[in-house]
Amino acid sequence: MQIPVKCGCGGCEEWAMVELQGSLDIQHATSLQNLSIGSLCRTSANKYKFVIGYHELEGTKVALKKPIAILKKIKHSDGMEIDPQLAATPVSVEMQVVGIIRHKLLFKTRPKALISKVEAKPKRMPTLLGH
Amino acid sequence: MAAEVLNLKPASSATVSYGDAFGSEDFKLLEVDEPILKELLQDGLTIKGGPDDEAVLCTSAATYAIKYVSTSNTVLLIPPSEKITNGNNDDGMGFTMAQVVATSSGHLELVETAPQLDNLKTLLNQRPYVEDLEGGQMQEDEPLEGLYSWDDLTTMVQASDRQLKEALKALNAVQIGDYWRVVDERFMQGLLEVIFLSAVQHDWDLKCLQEAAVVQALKDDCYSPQIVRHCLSCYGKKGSTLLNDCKTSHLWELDDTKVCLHYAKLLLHDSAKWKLEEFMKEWRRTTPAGMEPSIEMLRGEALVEKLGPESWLQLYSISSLPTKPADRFSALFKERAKWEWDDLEPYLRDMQTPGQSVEAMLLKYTRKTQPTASSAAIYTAR
Repeated sequence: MQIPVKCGCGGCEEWAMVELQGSLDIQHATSLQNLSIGSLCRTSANKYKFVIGYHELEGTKVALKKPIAILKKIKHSDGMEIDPQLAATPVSVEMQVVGIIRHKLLFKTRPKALISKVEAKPKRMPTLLGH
Repeated sequence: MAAEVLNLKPASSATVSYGDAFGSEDFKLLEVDEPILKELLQDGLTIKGGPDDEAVLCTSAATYAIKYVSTSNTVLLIPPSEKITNGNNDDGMGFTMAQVVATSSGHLELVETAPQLDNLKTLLNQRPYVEDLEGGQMQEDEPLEGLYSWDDLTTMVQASDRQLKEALKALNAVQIGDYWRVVDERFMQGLLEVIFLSAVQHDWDLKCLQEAAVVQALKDDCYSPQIVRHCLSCYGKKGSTLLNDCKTSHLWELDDTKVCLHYAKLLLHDSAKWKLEEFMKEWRRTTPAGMEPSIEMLRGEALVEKLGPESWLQLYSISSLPTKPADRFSALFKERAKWEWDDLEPYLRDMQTPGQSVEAMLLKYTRKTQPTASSAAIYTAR
């Protein structure tokens, strides 16, 4: 059996990959579609910050040692008229390259918990210096 | 979106979210090096394997095993997008959107591996090629089972095109019509005999045979020109092209070793064990005049064993051994517990394992002992 692996249209375009050490915990949402994850910001030449929920992650842009091709499985039916009583239509499978990844944003440090500044009510700060 | 994320300018930010098509596609990530990627994008590659095989990926010249490497990290994939969704957040700063279309829990890695060629021999040996010398013509309505075309072979053999071509050449296979065939041994012997007889009859030089003359002479015996040329290419080297009047004819130089080995194999197929002296006598008798058989030619095809005062010759062909190193060493040590390097070397010649030298394989699968500095090294199983 042979499965061809070839370039689909748009297959040479570069995708972005963001890698986080850890897992995303989805709260209060029934579906993932259109759910916001967080805010990605580039603070300097090779420093990136990713704020997810109340965590802040620090990362860098890393070039992959070897590029990664992103493949999608495509099934073709033979396109012929089929007699429903006969055996299933022969299906040919091919893998199509839909993109290439050469760099990733890698966040592998321990997340920093952010103190929320949302509280509008100012609190009385205890004095640290005695009179 | 991808470009925005990758080329995010300093002091700017992007909102990352799950896209509206998140989870609808199943993507596979394949790690490739630049040359393979280039070939993939230009010509395409092929994954080959039967339902019971481990899948391999073939380029035009090499074969790779496909391994899955998983990760516990969270990997988000963001494709490029035509539309750049811009908006303004409360601070009045522009922001860009990046949509994650899928996550990945690992990727596929390629490890170069030897092609799986064992089934090629089995397939081709289903219908060894013979010619009907009585009738002369191949029957038109010959049944097609057991016959394989190039396309059939590329589908059924887990090897790249170049490796498949090399394997066919090593088997002395020939393409007759649409199908690749190996020639029946007895038929080939008969053909060689006629060539040698004709050489004597016409006073030809075996080192300088004129292809056209040979083809013509054998046509009278009903051998097809194609099979005659194939025979010459199996047992000889192409010399220069001879220009004679207006006709050009290729010249062939028959190779002593190949011809003598052919006759030796026939003797060994008749009887697997011979007293060395008797074998050498019979061998000299059957090989054509002008060719001197020597025991050196048998390396890789037969083993010499000393039992007391007598030497015995036994059929032991490298072509009957497994291709994978572990299996091959296991078979070799089953045949003989101890091997001297001189005897062992010819049986290691065609082992293909990318990235592993013969020395490394010896270290891995054998134990080397050397009783004294001057005696030969002995190899045993680990």
